[in-house]
Amino acid sequence: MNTLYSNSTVVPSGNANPINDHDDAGERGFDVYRAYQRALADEDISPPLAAIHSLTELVTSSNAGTMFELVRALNDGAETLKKRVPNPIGLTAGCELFIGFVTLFPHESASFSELKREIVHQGKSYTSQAIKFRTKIAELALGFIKDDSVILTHSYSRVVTQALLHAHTRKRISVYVTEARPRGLGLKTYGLLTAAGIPCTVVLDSAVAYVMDQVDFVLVGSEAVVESGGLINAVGSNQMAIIAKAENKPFYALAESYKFHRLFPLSQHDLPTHNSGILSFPHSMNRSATTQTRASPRLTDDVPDGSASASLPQRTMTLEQMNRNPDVDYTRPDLISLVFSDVGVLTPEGVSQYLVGMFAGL
Amino acid sequence: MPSKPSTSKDIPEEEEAEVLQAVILADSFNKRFKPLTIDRPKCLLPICNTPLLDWTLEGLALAGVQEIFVICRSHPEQVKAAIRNSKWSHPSSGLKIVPVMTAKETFSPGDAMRDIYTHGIITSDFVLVSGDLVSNIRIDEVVRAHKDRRKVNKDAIMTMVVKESGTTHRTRSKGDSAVFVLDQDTSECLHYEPVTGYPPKSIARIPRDILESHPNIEIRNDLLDCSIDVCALEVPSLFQDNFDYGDIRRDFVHGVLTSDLLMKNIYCYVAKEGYAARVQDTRSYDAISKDILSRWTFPLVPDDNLPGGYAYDHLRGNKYIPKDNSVVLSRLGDGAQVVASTLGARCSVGPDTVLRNAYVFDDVTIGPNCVLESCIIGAGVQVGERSRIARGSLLGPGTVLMPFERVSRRKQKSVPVIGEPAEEDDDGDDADADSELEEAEKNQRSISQNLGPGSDAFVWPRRAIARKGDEEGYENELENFNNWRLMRLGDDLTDLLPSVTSLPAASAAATVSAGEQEFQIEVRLSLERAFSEGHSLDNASVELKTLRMASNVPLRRVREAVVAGIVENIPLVEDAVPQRTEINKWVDRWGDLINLIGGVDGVETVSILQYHCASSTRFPLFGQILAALYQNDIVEEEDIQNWHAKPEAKGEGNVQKTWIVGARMIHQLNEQESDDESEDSE
Amino acid sequence: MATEPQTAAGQRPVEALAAKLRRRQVVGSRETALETVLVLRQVVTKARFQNINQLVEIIRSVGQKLIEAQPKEHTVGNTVRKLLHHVREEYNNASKGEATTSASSFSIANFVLQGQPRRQAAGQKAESTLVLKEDDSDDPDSFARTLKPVVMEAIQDILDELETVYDNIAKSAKDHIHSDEIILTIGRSKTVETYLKSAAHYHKFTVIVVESGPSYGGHDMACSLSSSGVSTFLVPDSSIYALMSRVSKVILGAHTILANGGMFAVTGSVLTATAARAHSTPVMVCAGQFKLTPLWNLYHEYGALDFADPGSVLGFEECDLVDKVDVVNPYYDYVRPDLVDVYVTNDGDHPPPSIYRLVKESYDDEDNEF
Repeated sequence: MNTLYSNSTVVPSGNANPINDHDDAGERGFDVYRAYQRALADEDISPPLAAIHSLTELVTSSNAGTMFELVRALNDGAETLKKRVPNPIGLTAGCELFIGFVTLFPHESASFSELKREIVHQGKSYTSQAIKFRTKIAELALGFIKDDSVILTHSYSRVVTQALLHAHTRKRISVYVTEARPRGLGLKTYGLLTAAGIPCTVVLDSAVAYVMDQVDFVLVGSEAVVESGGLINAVGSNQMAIIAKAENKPFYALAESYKFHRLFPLSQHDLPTHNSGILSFPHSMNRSATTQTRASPRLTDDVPDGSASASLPQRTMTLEQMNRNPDVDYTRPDLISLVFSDVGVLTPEGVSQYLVGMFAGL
Repeated sequence: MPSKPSTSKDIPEEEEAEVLQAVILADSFNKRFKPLTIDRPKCLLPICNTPLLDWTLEGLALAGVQEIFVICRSHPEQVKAAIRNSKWSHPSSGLKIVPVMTAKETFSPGDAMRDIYTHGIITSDFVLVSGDLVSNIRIDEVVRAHKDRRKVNKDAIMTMVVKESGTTHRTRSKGDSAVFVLDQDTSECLHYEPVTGYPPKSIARIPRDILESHPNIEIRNDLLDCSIDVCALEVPSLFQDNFDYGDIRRDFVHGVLTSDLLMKNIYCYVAKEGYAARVQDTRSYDAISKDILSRWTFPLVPDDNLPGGYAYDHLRGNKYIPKDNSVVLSRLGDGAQVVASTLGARCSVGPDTVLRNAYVFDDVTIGPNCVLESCIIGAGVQVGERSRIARGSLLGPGTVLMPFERVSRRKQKSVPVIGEPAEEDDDGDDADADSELEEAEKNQRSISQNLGPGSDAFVWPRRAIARKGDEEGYENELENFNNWRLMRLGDDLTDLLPSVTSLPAASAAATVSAGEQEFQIEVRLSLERAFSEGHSLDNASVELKTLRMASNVPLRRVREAVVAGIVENIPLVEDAVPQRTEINKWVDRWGDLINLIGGVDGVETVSILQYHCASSTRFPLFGQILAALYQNDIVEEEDIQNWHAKPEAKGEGNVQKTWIVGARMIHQLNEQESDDESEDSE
Repeated sequence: MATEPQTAAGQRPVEALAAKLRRRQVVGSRETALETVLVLRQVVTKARFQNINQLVEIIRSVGQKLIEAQPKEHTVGNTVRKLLHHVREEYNNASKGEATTSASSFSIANFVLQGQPRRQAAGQKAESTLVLKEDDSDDPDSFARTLKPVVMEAIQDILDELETVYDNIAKSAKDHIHSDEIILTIGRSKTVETYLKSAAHYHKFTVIVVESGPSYGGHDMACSLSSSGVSTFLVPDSSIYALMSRVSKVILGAHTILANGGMFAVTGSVLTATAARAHSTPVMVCAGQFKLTPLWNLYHEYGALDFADPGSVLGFEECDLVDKVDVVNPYYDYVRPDLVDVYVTNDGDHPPPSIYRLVKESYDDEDNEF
């Protein structure tokens, strides 16, 4: 095991500062990554959709003359994206879907350029359609929300927020949202829900077990839903599901169908985001250094305004410590009650059937 | 639909194909729900947000009734419109509903029945219900039982549906109930004794011949009268023949059963399963609302088959939340409590407001920090913040109460919005509604200062009820104020209840109730005053008469008191002769009082004297007192003989001894008669 | 539309059934399913339509009315869904020639939908010889004339399935029940009754019937079983746990099987299933396929579906109690999928997780909500 640590770097490899990288991929000056970032700038676009969007643009600018070349170009583009994005899970799902679609696209058009235009058209129309998926999911979820429900949710998710706001128009609900350290995205959810008039309380991630008794069900979003029927979502979802199971509370996941991901993780270590840096122990040589830093004033680096920290020992993690922590975790299918998606309400088994069916032709 | 009673004779053969008819009396013929019923007929008042009429129609549809006549009197247009717009008038509902308007002079169910007769709409045996029935009883089974019986016995003209409920059941009316005497084997109703809650009724008199002719009888005071009657065709005609029949129970049933001429039979159907009750008064409104909410009326429950067509979700603790969110509980109002209450559509309830046993109709706005208990709030009422509406209040439609109101017990408010009285005129509603309104408005000035500025409420006059009784004569005894209180929502009856609960359940023995005890004390005091102060006979008798009126005791009690008073005041003297003079002195002076108290009944006087002496220290004086009474012509010889012939006069112990004394006296009298010359010479 | 007056005329039986359902004059899964099929047959016979959408709309509107009348009898909706599924299937078979999947219909959204589980057998059906002419203005009835017999046939199939359902389920009885076993069941279920009686032809075993208050359906069940020679015990509900250690198998009936593999069943079922779980006794559920419902348990907080009147628990004449006590008398329990080991249906045996697939195969997704 020690050999693993030996070559570990402090910053996970995926985080290798992508902004300054010059474009070494894409075709003739087309930068798929920049296209991806442009698409993501829209608040409503999630990574898989942005990926489909950028790949569609790639097809437009591609000079591939055959289907084989086109698919290879797409695969290369997808590869570039995955390399340059720290958490490639969502976008991989989108890339997979689009490439799978292109591969199976019937060759009926007169010329190849005609075919490309058709594919681009499909890609564009899909991204515009997909925006409405959340509305559909919100409507499906509404049927499961009874009046006076108390709902627990985790971190921030566009689809969950939309579902809750939609439910608020028709039912009386109250929401507990976890803070979701370290990024504190739960506070964003809190802000949005409170502004809409939904009674909402932020709970500590460590208080999930405490609060579970009082909630009617758990509603979380997702980065991806995988072939096992399990769920990849912001870290903390797994423990929430385990606690929900222990208390016999339903655990519902919301996922648009473009988040279906052909991946079969068996444990947290199988996630693409996992690298040796995550949760690694400090190297024996700089262990003493780490202990030193813990007490040293370097701590205040993380705190923008360190006036209070002078007297009180600051009890927050260092950036380095945070970087050793995972962003997402994997929740086993047996902990999930149902997955709400735009193609209907599915059991975890249903999700795997979907994935098998979708890619059966490949 | 021509109907000829004569043709009805050959109908029973083909009765399977017959259309089952029903008649709904969609008027209450009383004013217990005023002022809520000012602009809305009672049958359209909502209970659990569904008009009573819909409940009734659903109950009938459940029973497979095909043709329904709705007899309406007040606000007939509204009833008609309600029927027209309801799902029932849809052709596929399989029901044919005909609203029938009756004249305004229809003051009682009996009048309505006569109207039915003259309209000639009934062609066969029919179901008669009132328009405020909530029922899930299988009336079709009752009808079948009724028809089977009719095949055998032509005189079985009516079957009443009753339900076992226990004496003090919340749904059973305290003010207006009855003792049923049933034949245990055939469930024929042999005797019907109406019971009024106040003044409390303690004795049910059952004709002796019933006991003789039926070996197995049940006397029951625990039956809830559902007011569902399956009537034969001749029932309306009986009403026609007996124009003084007003109430179906008190007059018709009682009349038929006690009549020696009619020779008709009435049966009861004691429903074991199912639920049926009438919203007779505000108290039963409360009880039935609760029954519905706790699902006794299943399958007519809010989350299932609410007749009005609203759909509700049923939550833990018998909470019902409408599926389309027509009621919006204020979100701001953390701590708004709604307990055992119903809220209409489009209501809003402020924060920290408490509703307990409150029934709120549509479009009501209740401000924050209010307390509403045991009340019915009419449509469109606005209640300002921090108002307290106490037990038993009814708020008329459209009332606006400003902040800091207190609507206390026994005050009833109504606010007709300006212009509404005029509307009443157009409606041509019963004249006295208008006069009541005027009277209420007169009161307004004096009361308005209590209500705070801006409120347009005024107190609904209580007198209206008292007056009504005098006017119409109908249900006089039922509508007296105290009895009416028994039927009212939220009246805790602390002052009435003791005497009510002391009512012996079914024993016909003459138990002395609390009221009578009090009376006896009063009478004794009054007599003693008269004796010691030497009042004139007239004054004394007037005083006794008033006392009797005030406590409503039978004449016999007064007579007992007077006799006892006289007897006990005769001083006891050793020798026989002075004793006789003492007796004569008292009887001469006061004896006439016995007959001045309101009726002469010598037999009763003697038997009272007998029973009193038998249990008194003045037992030996019986013969002498009796003789003195005879000599003062207070009792006649005939009376003594009649008394002596009565079986209960014989008695045992002292009673028997007095009887023997009496026998001796009769013997003497006979002798005197035979040779009265000798008496003269003496 | 020409269909309007027609549907109105066909409304009478629909309304009649709706009223009966609402008043609970028709109860029981199979009864309601049968009644629904009969009404649908009447409606389809009278219906006039020129294209598939009109027909579907007619059937859907009937379904809507009936489900609204009694949302708690799920077999009504299931029957309608099944008919719609058959209608579409027949229609797709007949019109296969002209409408193959073309590029124009191939989009990413459809690509995703490929994953939807479907009955594979559908494609292998004998090629239909029907020639359908939709919206033929010259002969508006031609579509109906050709399609109607096929639809009527489909209705007859559903009817046949319902009529033979008990016997078909009971076919596997002799394989599941062995000699000298002790079987525990609760309440009265016609399916379970037939199943046990059929097994009794082959094996000798003992049945413990739990009486299931306050309806006491177990009493009838015990009478019926013992009169056909099965050795039967009748026990009160309270003794379920105590007896469970000696029971070799629990057989339950179902009111509705939900898409997640859970079910609604007579009250006491969840008690029985939980006791069985504690003793690791296998739990078998016998139910016809018409009870499969593409719905989920939305009653997570309460666990039960429907509440009856308090009358069977507390007499109305108990006047003092009526005022003070609220009686909760649920009809059904919700049994979680993990408490059931196998569903025995007329279409084979299935573990709870595969119920989802069965549901998806039997009905079309667009019909889940009416």
